[in-house]
Amino acid sequence: MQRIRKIASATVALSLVAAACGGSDDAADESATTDAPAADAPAADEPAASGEKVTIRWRTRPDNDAEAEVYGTISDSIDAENGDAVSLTYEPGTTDGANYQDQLITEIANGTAPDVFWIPGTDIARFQSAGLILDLAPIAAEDGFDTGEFYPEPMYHLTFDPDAGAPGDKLWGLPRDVSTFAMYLNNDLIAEAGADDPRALAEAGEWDWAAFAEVATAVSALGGENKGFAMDAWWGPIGYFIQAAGGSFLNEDGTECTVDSPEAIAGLTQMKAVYDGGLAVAYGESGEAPWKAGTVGMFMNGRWATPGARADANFNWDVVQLPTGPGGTQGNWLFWGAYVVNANTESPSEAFDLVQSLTTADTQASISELGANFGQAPERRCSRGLPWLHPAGKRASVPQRSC
Amino acid sequence: MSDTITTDTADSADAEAEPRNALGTGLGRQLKLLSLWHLVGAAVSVVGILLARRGGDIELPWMPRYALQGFFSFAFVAHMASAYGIGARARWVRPLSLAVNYLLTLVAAAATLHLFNAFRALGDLGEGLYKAFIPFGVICVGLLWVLLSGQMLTNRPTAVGPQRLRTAGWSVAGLASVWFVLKADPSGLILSIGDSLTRPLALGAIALTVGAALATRLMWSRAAAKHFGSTRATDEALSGLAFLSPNLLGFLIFFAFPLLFSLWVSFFDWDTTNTTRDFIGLENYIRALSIDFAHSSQSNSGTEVLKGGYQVLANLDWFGQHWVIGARDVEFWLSLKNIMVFLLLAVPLAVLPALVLSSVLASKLPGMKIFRTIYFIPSVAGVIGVAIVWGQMFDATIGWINYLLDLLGVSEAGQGQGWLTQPDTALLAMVIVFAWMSFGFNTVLYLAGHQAIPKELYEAAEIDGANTWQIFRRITVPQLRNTTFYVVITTSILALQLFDIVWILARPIAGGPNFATQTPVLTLYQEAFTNNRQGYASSLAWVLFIIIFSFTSFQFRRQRDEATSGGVS
Amino acid sequence: MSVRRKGPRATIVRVFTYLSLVSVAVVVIFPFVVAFATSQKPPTWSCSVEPLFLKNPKPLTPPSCCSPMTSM
Repeated sequence: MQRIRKIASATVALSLVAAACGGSDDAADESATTDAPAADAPAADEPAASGEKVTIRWRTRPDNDAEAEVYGTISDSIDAENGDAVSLTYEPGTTDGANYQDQLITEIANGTAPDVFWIPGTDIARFQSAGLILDLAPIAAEDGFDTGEFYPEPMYHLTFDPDAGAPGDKLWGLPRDVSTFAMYLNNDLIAEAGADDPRALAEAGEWDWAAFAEVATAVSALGGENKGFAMDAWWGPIGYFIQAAGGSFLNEDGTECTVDSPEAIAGLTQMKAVYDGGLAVAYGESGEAPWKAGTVGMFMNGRWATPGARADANFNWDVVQLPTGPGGTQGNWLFWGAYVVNANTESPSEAFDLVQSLTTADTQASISELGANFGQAPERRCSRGLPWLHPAGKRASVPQRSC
Repeated sequence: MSDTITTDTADSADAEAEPRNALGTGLGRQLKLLSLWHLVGAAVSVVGILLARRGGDIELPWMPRYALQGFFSFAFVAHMASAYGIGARARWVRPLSLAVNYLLTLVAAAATLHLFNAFRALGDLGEGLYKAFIPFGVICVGLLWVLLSGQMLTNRPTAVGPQRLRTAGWSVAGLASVWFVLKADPSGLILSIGDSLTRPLALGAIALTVGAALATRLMWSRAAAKHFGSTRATDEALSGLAFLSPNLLGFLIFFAFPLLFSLWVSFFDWDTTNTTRDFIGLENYIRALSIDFAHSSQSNSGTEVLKGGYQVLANLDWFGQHWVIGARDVEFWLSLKNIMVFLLLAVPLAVLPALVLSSVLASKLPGMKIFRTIYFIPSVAGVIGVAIVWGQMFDATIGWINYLLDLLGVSEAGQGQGWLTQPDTALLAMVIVFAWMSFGFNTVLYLAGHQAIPKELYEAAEIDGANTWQIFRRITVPQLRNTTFYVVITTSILALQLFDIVWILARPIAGGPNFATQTPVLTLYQEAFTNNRQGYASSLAWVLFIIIFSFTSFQFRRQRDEATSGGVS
Repeated sequence: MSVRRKGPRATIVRVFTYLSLVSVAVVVIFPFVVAFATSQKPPTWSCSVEPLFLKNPKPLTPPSCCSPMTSM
């Protein structure tokens, strides 16, 4: 399957190169099916007899220099595979001076944004409704690209047709990574407090809010700076409490805010009780620093916290799924981000080729191997739906299958 | 230009009533040419207007289209007026023609450089310099030798050693230059210049640049000045403007224009992504400033008592009466409230310590220079980096501040204050960081002020038996009044524009917790780049400008009143 | 001002002056010292309940290294 896709995309790339170099005649039969990109290809503008190079710029939001370097390496290797027709430039995005997305929007408005960029899943709708990202469905259709290889949950949003109000014949990008929340455990501290091991509780199906409160109380009872629980104050962790209690931020069709529903209030009440009981690191304070300092029993965070925990945690740690709330579910989120194509790109077809190359199982595996994105599962899936993703590579349960 | 002045017969028709100036034949001919040049310029401007209107091959977005039309219309009027003025020998034509030609020279030169890829070549030059860094260094060494030897030779012109050194320096620099050229490899540059030279557009740009430069020079000449009867004052003004022009043009293009443009934008519903642009008049300002009072029968009433579209800003209980204040943009009003509190706390904290410390530092006690340097360090440190460090120190669990308080026994371990995460202390934390950062610079300003205080005042005071506090209160503070005024004004303006500290320090998000550190500039930024509302953000910027402006002018007025009423108390 | 004065009172004033100058200087310098100290620490020590200047005096054995406050 992978090989077929590679060959297919190579053929498309070759035909495009041919179209770019030789004018319309040579590639007439092959580009007959590719009318849209052929019109957009730079061949239309200039008689590029000498083989004018298409430069594709792309960007991600790396967490650190090491990750930026990894993406640079990936970019170079894809570039080398692509041959001379397309050259890639990777630009690591920063969050130092300005918000990554804010900066992107400004650049798009000024026409200086990269051709391909990564954005969080929560920004897809915003970028789409502002007309900033390209609908890749026509190009994907020509390529015979199969979106079924990806987890359906992100693809639901990435193929959403706002006019129809349901997934349709649209493709706004391809997902790079998926992630869920997990409860990071400081095993040493929990043992010191004499509390039950949450992993055993989860195994026994007893890992619910009552058990969670018990563990948190025991750890907090150690005194000093020790706290049972920590989380960062943003919509994710707050949403967990609402969802696990059976509530939701929004109603079914997303037209109404429902944080005042009885379930949501029950969830928020539980969250408040944890803080009021002195069981957690002060609300709003970063949970990561005290967790790394070893004074937090349980730290709720996504898979992205794993590299930091590996590097900096000086104690025995593991992860467990989130405790089940009164709603009977874990109420976990699915966090994901996608590579999208700038609506104003001059070479949409080449840009989509890059998006495909970046989301192959091979590329994602090598990104994982090179060390970046470590906490995240590669987005390709084989057959089964999205499980709760165990972030600790310790258990080697990151689903790294090439389909 | 020809400096010989003879009577011109051919142009006597023009110069009929003005025998006070004799015309040079050469000058007359040149001025005719210049007139023609302006006419051609006018014609080209008309073509430019038409092209800009039609858009040519490429459909221009509306903004450059209007901008180009405006530009060419302006050019057309200026050219026509210049052409007429030269013929009529009007006095005003010289400055006008000079301005037109000078600007044309600049634009044409920029276009030429662009067509020759000079701006990109600058980047290549940098890269070449990087590649050939060692030869470059050797060249510098060689030139340094030459310089040194020159120094020595001025003292002893016949010394053999320095002469040898000079020869050696030149040879080293020469050889290294060859090496440099080989290493930096400018062949690409040379090729591209050669390539550009064959393009008619590039040649045209060169011609235009040279033509405009010659025209400028002609008009600048003394002969032309005499011909048009320039007064000394005009000449001086022109020279002044010419010297000022690099800065002035930069100011106009990169400062004044964006400023006025933002005023224009503020009357629109304008997306940052340029997808929407509807003229809505003052609606943005109305939205920002709208506020509603409502009387309510019970305390803690919500939006139900307010007009539609208004949100609760505050609930007040006055003498058993419940009032609800609502605003359409609650965040903006909250940010105004926050910034006023911030101003009242931060400015005294940044100014008073500076005043006191500068008085101590101004004394001749040993070691003052060291302290002066230390106090100045925060002002030169990068705001972002410093704010990150402070963020670490303010952390409730692993931060230094709570740790030190624990050590002192003020607080208890694990019960530490969440400085940045509690709404009642978050703004205070910003005040501390701001004061810490700005008081050092203010101290230096005050120190400069101290230099201007006459020493006799202190001597007289000591003789009269004044103590330190009296001297400080009765002499230093009044004498530093002007400095205080300046320091308060600049610090206040800085405080009112608070953004970067909050951007980095506020938890969990900028402006948090619960809008406790929301500042106007932050609101403005979020509206522009997160909420995509450039028009509304621009109107907020102007509201903020008006606030700062009125604050400053109020201070100025007070200062002036004090000065006229005798001042020193 | 107080420079020209002599006697025990002047000395006290002078000591007091220097003390206040030094204390302000400490406040001013402190964040930079913290930044420098952080730059010298391995990542494992950058998050510590008891903030440290250069090196953690305690051995690297969990969990004692992680909860120094409890042992205090």
